[in-house]
Amino acid sequence: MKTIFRLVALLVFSILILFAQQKSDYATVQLFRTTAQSISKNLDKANSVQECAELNASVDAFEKEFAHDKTLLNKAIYPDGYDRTIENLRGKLLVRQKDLGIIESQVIRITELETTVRELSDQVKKLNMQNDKLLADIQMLTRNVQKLTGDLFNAATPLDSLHNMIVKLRQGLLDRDALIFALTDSLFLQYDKNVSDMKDVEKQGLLGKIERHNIDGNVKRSIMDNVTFLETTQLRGSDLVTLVRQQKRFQSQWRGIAPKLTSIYMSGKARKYEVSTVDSMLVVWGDKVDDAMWRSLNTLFKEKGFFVKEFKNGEEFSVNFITALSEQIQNSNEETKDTRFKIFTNFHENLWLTDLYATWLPALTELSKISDTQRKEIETKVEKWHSIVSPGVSWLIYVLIFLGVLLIPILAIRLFPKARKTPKETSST
Amino acid sequence: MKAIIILFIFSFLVLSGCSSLTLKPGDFAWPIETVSKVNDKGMIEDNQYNFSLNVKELLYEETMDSVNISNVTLRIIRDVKGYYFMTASKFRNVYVFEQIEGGLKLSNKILVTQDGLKNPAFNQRSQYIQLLDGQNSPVSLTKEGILKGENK
Repeated sequence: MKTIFRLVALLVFSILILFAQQKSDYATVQLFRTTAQSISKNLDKANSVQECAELNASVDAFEKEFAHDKTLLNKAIYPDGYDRTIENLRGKLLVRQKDLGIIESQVIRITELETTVRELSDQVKKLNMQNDKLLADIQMLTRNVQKLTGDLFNAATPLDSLHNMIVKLRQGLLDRDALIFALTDSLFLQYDKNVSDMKDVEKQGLLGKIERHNIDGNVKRSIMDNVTFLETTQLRGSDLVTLVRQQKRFQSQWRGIAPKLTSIYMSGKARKYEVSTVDSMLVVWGDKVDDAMWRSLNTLFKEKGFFVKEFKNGEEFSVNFITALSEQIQNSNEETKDTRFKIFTNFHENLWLTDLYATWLPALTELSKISDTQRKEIETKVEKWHSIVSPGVSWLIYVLIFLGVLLIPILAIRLFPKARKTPKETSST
Repeated sequence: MKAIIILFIFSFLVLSGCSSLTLKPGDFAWPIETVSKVNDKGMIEDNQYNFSLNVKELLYEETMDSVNISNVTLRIIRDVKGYYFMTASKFRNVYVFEQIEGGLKLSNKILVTQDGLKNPAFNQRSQYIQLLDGQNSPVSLTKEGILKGENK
């Protein structure tokens, strides 16, 4: 399997060199020849259905890779050329499968999975590059904006270009997380059995693939990028809630594959501690995202002018918020009816309906930061506060009363003019 | 007069019988270059097109050194018309040869760089031979020299 890895690496490296400079036909032909020879040698050594499937996928990739040089290869390689070289490899694979007593449908199914794995792996690589660039751009743009405007602006400032980049990067990070786990699933699916039931050869084969597609590296990189994204962008509100959800989803997906990886790594000393390293990194990410979330919620209360004692976890949030609500209900500050109504209206319209009730409380419950009971208790307190406050009499009411008093005699004069005229007329006669 | 006519007819018959047979058009292009190492005797042997050639004179012409000739990797390609183009790393020129009995004769010597080629390679193209050298722009060559305006 290591040979196949070297072969793929050689192929990729050589192609990169070829494209980095002008392409030499001779080099293309040589690369075609050596790759075909390596695949052919590996076909002779293939011993399992997975190896056959992997070689099948290698032949597919090989065919695709050199398709645009078909004319040159058919001319330059005598007598086989491009077409017959591929045909020979496929024929050799079939013979090998027959020798090993492998059913064709099995190979086809695993080849499909292998192809998916390769495609996913390529997509992960592309997204890695794209995300790296976006992250660097965001960091640079944020630095530039801060240089120009001091602390007035940061990544949370709604600048269109910056916001667009952040949205793109967040989507890129999400997509890559999903791809990494899909890739890992596809790798395990190829073996169609539990790790504990696998033979040592199969475990080695799977370990080779895990290493080749850099599963650990990608998981770690994903966590680090998510942490950097969190620290760079300083997102708030629903955006931050999305990040917390993303971290939880990642953690739960990791929990799904971690035991399998642990069983595979048992055989190799070097990788033994990889799973626990990722576990620790996930804890750090979780702590950071939690800190950011509580910080954001504390700031929200301050910005909306509703005092709640600072909190650092769900329990403290619940207790401190309920205490603040109780103080308002009990009117500890002995405020007037009018002031109390104003405070409630401000809280209800600018904080409760827009942020807390709509976003934060459902999210905190969903993320198990507060219990359903705590959420209900908070909602009950808000309802109670609502029921005891009523609008006071404002200056507008006085103005209206005054106008009403003025209006009555005017209306009376207009409605009954004759009643006033009649006595005058009588006196003149 | 009669004698002149007989002599004319006789000359015509003799000359037409002796004129060389020409086969045209022909395409002698190799699809790819060959890359051969010069041995310590100054010989190259090519397995793909099955020929061997003593290149001592060529190496002397380019390097003025006929002693340190082994390990030079010579790149050769033949164009549509049948001319052979040869060069190697550190060469400043591309040599164009035509075939003669039992060997090759220099037809043209094309100066391509003053600094010497670093990583040369020939590609066969329909109207010319393309010379690559690492990151430098490719040069289009014919037996006459560098093709102007085609260096892409």
